[in-house]
Amino acid sequence: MILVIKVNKMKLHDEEFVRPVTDLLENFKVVDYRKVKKEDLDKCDKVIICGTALKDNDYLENLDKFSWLKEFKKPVLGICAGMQIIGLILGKELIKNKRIGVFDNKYYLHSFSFKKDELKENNFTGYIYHPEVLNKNILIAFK
Amino acid sequence: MKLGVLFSGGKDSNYALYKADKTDEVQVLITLDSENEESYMFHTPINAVEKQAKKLKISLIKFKTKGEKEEELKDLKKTIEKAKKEFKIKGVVTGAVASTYQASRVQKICDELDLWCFNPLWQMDQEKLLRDLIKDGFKFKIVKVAADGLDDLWINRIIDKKAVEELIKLKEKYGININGEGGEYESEVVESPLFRK
Repeated sequence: MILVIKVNKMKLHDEEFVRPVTDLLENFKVVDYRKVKKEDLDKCDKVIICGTALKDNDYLENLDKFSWLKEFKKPVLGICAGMQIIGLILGKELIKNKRIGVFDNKYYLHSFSFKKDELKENNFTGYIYHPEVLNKNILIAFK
Repeated sequence: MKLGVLFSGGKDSNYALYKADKTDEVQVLITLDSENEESYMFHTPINAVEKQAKKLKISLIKFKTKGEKEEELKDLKKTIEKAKKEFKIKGVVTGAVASTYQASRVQKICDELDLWCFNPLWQMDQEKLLRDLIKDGFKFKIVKVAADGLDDLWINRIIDKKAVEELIKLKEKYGININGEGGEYESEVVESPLFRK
């Protein structure tokens, strides 16, 4: 089972940042990032941390909700905000950098990023762009 | 949150409105009346928006645009800005499904105007979108066709379950997008669960 962690603040954004991801999965459970329980983390095989809208940066004030990532050994894939969260937990420096639209056949929608668009470190993978839009194979391969 | 919905009277903008109405407060419908039938941004014709706005009991802001590529984006920005001032909206909803061209341009305009942007139909499966619309009580018809296999007999035809099956067959034969994403057809909503009598 894949634990899909939603990071968006507004419910209407579930349709834009969570549903396009879960549409590509079969066996999953969606949990709000503020309500992740130890039991959810124990039961799942992998984790996906979803993205948020440009103006939705509440997660940056609530990084303590992701402190479990430090000890977590199962595969984790972060999309946009999800990658930012993983990077910050790993101690990387987040920079203000807005990008909207398609570049090199990848759909970008972010206000912050790291030096690199992709992150691969131990069990963590991150994409600052949205693979659920133009690079669905990335998510299909992860599941 | 107080929202404005980019509204053409077609199935996608009506369905985006329906989803937004469940979670937030829709204050105004925003319509761009494009003189360019080939516009990448806007659906034409938009004959039904006034009638629909009355049935929905939601205010409407309508603005004419020549529909020239960059100018129409400036016109859209001006119209959204007007909606922000007059209706105090904090965000904009679109019916974008797969077009990164449309979605990213509206995202940019919202960003420039410090507004939230919502795309509740984003990346929906073509077939599921049509079936969900029908299941949720929408009645919509085709008002313009522009694709192989879609002849004039489709004009004014209501898209019911049988029509969806026929569209799927046309997809298999001609490779059309059955949701009309590539401009294969334009739709107009005849009945919505949000219409009041």
